[in-house]
Amino acid sequence: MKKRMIILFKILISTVILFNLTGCWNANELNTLPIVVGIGIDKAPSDEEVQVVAQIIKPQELQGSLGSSDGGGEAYWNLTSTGETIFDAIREMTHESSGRLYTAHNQIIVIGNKIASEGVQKYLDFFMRAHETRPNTLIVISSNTSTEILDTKPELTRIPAESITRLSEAQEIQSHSKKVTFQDFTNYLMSKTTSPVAPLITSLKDKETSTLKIEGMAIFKGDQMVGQLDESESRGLLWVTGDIKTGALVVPYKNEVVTLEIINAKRKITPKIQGDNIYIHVEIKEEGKIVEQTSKENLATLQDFEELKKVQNEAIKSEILSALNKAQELNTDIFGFGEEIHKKYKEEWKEISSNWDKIFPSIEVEIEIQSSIDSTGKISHPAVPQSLE
Amino acid sequence: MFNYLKKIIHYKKAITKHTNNLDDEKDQGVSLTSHLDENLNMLKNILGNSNDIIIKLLNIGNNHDYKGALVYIDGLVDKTMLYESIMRPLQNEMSCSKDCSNLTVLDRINERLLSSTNIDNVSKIKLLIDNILTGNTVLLLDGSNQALAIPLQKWEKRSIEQPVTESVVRGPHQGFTETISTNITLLRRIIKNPDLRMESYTIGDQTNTNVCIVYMKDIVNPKLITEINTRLDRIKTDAILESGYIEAFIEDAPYSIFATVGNCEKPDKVASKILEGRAAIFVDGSPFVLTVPLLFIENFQSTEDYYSRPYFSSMTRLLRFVSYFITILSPGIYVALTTYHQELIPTQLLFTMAAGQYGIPFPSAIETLIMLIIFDILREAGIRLPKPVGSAVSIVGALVLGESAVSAGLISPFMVIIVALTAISSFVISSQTDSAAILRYFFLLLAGLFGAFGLIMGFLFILVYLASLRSFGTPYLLPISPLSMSGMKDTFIRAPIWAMLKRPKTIGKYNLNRQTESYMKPTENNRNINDE
Repeated sequence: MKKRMIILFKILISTVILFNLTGCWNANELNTLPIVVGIGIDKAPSDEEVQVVAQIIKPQELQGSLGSSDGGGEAYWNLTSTGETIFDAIREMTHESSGRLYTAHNQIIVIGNKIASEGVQKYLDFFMRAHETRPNTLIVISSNTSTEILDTKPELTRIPAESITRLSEAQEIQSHSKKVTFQDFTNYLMSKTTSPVAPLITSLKDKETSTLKIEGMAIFKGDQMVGQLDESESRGLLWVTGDIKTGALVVPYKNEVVTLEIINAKRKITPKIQGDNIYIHVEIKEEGKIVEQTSKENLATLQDFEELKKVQNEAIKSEILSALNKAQELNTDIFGFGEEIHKKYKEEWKEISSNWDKIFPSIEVEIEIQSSIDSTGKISHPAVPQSLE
Repeated sequence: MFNYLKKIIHYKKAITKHTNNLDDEKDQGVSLTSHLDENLNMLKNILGNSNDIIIKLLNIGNNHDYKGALVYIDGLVDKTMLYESIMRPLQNEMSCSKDCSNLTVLDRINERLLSSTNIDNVSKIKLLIDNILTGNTVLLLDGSNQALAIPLQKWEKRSIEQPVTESVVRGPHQGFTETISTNITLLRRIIKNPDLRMESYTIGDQTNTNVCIVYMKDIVNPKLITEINTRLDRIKTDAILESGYIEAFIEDAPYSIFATVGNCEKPDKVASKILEGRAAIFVDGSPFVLTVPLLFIENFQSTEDYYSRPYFSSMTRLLRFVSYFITILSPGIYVALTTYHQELIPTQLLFTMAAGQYGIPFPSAIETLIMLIIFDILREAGIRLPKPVGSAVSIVGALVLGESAVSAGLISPFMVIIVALTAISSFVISSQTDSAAILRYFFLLLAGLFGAFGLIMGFLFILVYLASLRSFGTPYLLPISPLSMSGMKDTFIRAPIWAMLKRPKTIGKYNLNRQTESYMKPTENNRNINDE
């Protein structure tokens, strides 16, 4: 019996030791983990290789922001490395960092201008395959290099990647650009007809300070950047794609200007095939609100509202038309009209899709806008002496 | 491995069987003789010279015709009663003509003189000894081969106090004491019904402890009582010092970390369980009364749930479930998240946690283990230590181990939060504190080795294990598995009292109807009783 006890004891001990010897699959302590929050992709100076910037947080510096004293140093570390491929470059970083880069919390991928013009697909391939990449990682296109963007020290947060994320999420307030996630972008890439877009970010430099600004959106043809939309053109795009959340419309009215806030907007796209002609009918329903007026006149009358609606319709229409002109000029279907036709005319689609590049520049788009003005804010007429009638 | 364990157990069982048969039926056979001196000598031989055993020789009758002796244990007997109602009448008031034979004298004493009730005639020496030891006074008479056992027990005991383990804000505050007769009285005071039945046992070769099964005759499953009887009969041990001994002998799963026999200190709680069809086992010397069968869900129910309004009770009950999961799982989840699944932590929280972990010398599994052990040490110390030292321990615990360890960079501030949360939650389910303490380490080990995968497997294992347990024939996870919709009224929520028309389906199936529908229906009349 004693012998068996000893054997039993041995088995028990060796099992316990065995668990420890496996080296803990996948285990990583938080304090040894280089947490990457932003990745930038650029052409290496040699133009042969790719240069990757990884923004890694420094938790010890972040701790300073929790307590009373400001940490002093920067809370991030931009690690640059070059390689033939993205994965190669990222693994090369282990020569300089203290562990395998942990990219599951990566918030943003900044793509440099040169890469965008060359074609992004081959550079994004790694991110699509990697299990750590989140589909909701944001994609922005730098107007210059991505290093420049990730090096810009933000004013309101301590980590550039975080500030860029917030910046691109804040675009919905003015609807002059929209955030584009990694998933959205890859979906566009895979579409036969729809051209991808992504917010365009620039670094504005003064003597001492530099800030980041999102101005408009970059347009891709296939996976290559071919042009860009300015702010009002971008909003024209968002009207059609239904991504308008809120924003300001400044419209001229009776020699002065009235500022209208977009409260709600809906869109409906109906493609129509008549014989050989393809029409796209875009219907926009919008609710607006007077938030500011420069004239001293009381605009809260039915007649003025009717007039204002017409002006508002025009303003929206001109934004859409400017975007449409740009898109047709570049022959890029950023609106996704092709997909709409595909949904409705499955039979005809085969033929249309192969000729889409020829069809799109000359496609006829009818724009119908129904807008309303529902409110004038807390006051109905401006704070001027009212005439007694 | 298990076969091997089984073999050892069987071997030990065989040994105990053998020894138990030795000392039966020898002493019991010896009868009293009709000579007082012989009887007394026999008693002295068995009881020894202990100075608390009093043998008082006296002459009985106003003519001092008969020689007799009173035998009792000092301290177990009410002395005033002994003098007033036994000794004085025996010595002074007894009148008996000569023609009375010695045997009938004893009967006459019994019938006419002694006012005490429950007097037994004893003729066997073994029974006589038992009577003396339980605190009865024994009257022996010269010339009679019988003796009278007169119950005059009185000893020092604790008064009825509020129980320590189950304190309530609303509801009766009295708790059981160490004396079985007091405890049964407390229950009798609540259930005034002839159907409340009791069955007495004496268990323990050395301690001869009184054990009593209490149940409602027309509610309880008769098979449950037979089962308890057989299980109690099976106990062959020398001592029962607390009801925990009985629990260990009769529980369904002796190796389990989960108790399958309930215990409680409050008469109202025992009454409610008896009225649902359970049986209670009272053990002399313990304020903890056992109740069987026990369901897992009972750990989450408190008497106060039924005394407060249902909404609040339901909320607190859900809270108890949450606390239970927090207390068994939170250290494990913390370790799994920080060492394996950092991607599951929200980004901002990850930054803060990484900042907190910066410079900590231990891996988080070890860190958690250290903190849990420290907490368990503090808890144990807190229970055992004398009260005046209590504040010192809490200062050491809270300040030195919590605050200073963090500022010294030994443990991360998050760890302190996790352990504090675990500790506080563990006290919410007071009856499962023991199993929760073990499960916590179990899940910590699994999380440290296999991450969330280990946690899930471990949780499923525990769940399947719980579902396989039975307590006196009743599935342990009852209202949940097997699912009973009527049981759900008193599981995660507590339905109003008037809505619980039936007793629990399995336990109370012999008499399912608890009440008929009698809730208050607002009508014009009863709403307007103040109107003229």
